[in-house]
Amino acid sequence: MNKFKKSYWKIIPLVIGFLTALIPSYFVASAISSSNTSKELRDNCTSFVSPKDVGKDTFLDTENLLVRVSWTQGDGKDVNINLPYDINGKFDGCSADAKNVLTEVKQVYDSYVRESCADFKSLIAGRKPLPVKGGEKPNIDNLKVFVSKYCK
Amino acid sequence: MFNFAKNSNTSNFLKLYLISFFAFLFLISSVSSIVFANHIVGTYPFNGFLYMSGQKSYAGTIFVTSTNCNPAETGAYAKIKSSTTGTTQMSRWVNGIKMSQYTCTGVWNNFTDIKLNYLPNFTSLPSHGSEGGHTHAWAAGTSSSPLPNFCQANGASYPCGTISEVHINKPKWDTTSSMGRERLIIHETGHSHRLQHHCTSNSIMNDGTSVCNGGAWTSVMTYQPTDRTGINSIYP
Repeated sequence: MNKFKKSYWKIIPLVIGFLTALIPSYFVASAISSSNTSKELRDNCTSFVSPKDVGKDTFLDTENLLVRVSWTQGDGKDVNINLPYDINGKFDGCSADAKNVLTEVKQVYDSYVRESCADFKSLIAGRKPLPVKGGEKPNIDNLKVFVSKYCK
Repeated sequence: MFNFAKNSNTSNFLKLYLISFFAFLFLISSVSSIVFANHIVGTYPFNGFLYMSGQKSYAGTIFVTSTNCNPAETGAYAKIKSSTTGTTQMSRWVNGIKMSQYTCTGVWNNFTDIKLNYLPNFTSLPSHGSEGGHTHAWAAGTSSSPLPNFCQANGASYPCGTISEVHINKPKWDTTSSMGRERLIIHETGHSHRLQHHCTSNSIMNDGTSVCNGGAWTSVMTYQPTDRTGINSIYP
């Protein structure tokens, strides 16, 4: 019985220590992973060299603010490089090639937003009829919320 | 090592607890950060642009605005429709993918999903070369970033899909055959679906270079099984 009691006093705090360490360890690991992710993006941006005469497709991840640049190299293998996307267009620390790609992505995306805003404002103001797509018209209230939040 | 005399039980308990707490905190954090450190791809699901139409009433239809509406676009869209209708790989889109020449203004509006932008100064732009074209795509909405949430504007739930702008090398286009033009449109549409180049068998995503499926280009004019499988797999 005494032996059991001695074990009890050793095992219980170990178990409780493990269980209570689980929650904060998640946040610590996330912080470490995020910092590694940010560093990798910055390093990619600094060292990025754009291949010539090769179509480079891009995908802007608007949630995580990064741009994936993809192309196929001479040996037929696909290459994917992630670059950080700054919504203010300040690509400090990036190579000239990276700045060119990111600037183009930003210009394309910004023109999409600008033209969409103009379209939404026209629809809200009744300057043009509501289009019908698949039997549905856009919801004016949704457009008003969007314009008030995102359109200058 | 541990004095289990009655009056020190509590302090020993606390000592053991604190030692194990910090030990496990270090251990779990270190292992987790190593395991997940290289996942630089965002967790945003890269649903393609068919996802938006699937949430509305026009499933499988894509609306295109073009700065240069031309017969090659019409021909390309017909081939896309015919090579995706009723195929076993397209279980989500059994009626095929319908590309629609929505406007010829080349301007984005509320309903356009893809913009075909024929750039006359393509080769003189930074980072551009002599390629036929390339695709820029982006997620149509966000849940937390400051960028505009187009999902909400369209009454769609987040995430709602992707939008894309295809840049065509206009000077090169002008000297390309009609078959080559159609092929380029269909190929870039594949990129808009988030497909990358495929070089180990016939595919609309063969890039036409000699190292890629023997240079196949206009010999493959429609979506192939591998392309359809790729498109179908993009969607949850």
